[in-house]
Amino acid sequence: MDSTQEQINTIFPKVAELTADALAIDIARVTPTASLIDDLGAESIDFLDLVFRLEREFNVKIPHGQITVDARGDLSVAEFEEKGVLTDAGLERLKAFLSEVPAERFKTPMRVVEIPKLFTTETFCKVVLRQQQAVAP
Amino acid sequence: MRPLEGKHALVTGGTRGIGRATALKLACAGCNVAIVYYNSHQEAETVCLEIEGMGRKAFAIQADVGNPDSLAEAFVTLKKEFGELDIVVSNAATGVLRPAMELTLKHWRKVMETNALALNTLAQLVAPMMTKGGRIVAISSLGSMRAIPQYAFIGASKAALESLARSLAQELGPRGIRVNVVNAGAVDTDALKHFPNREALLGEHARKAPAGPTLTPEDVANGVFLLCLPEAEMITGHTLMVDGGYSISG
Repeated sequence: MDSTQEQINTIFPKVAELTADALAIDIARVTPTASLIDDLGAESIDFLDLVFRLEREFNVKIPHGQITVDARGDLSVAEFEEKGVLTDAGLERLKAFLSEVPAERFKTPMRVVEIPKLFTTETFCKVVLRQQQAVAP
Repeated sequence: MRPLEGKHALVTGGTRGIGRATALKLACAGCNVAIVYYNSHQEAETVCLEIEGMGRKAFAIQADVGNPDSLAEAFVTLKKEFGELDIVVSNAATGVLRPAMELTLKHWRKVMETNALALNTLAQLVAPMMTKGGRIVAISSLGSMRAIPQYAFIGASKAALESLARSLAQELGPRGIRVNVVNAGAVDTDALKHFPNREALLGEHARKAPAGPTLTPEDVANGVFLLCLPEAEMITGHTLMVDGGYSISG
């Protein structure tokens, strides 16, 4: 089930607060569409820290690589990417999945390792909501 | 009777690599084992099932060892489950692999808090639970003594860890708590896969280590086990090299 904008808006303030804490930055910089890497300077250790904080706050589990796995959905790995580069189908799937990311940020061709550069605070709101829904009775 | 029968042990970072091997070794020796982990949920579940399969009690707690509040929260559960503790292995570590000239204050804090401060926090939390004495073992690496490319802050944190262990050994000695370090050579764990010079590190170890070309997580776990034995009662403040003799070879 897709998250509604209302659900995202509800948890955004807490996700923004945790993001600001993890990155040690002013919360005013944490806008819904800010790229964590390009705009907020996040690095891999920051992602681990943010995920830890989100898991504890929202009582969810976010396994490593979960966003990419969710984005791939029912596409096989071969349908999604070839030698580390997204296929046309993979790129379209990713654009639809990360609908919160402005279209101009998607590169063609796009490598799988570049996907985290697209992640915004809203991306993390959506992953929290998905993981909550995944364990809901 | 197993050598550590009925003891209660805690291993941080116990889901993978050296931590996992240590948790399994201590369980095999008779310990009930608690695991502290950061993000590896599935791996934590798997290692606990393996330990339970040996007939021991096992459980995993998620915590950030570099954050004293997070560790204190984990200890609420730990006290409830175990009451007392006999063995603590401070193994969890993090790192930023970059040249020193590119590292920042943020990196310093994260690496030092996770790799060095955690030992002090653990000691403060476990000492009251070690009423009959106990063993604290910290896992270090060759970077504490040698300049390894891209390893600057991790190496500094390991040097700090070893120094801190000596101070804790001195302070906690009268309470029957022994504090030692196992300094591991190049072990091909998941952590090493992130090293740009992984092949060179493993190759150099294979070429120089007189005890054999390959060092495994189990070899390091065996070193920890030795320091936890009753026979190691008079060993404290020591750094035990488990590197197949690599570091003594010119």
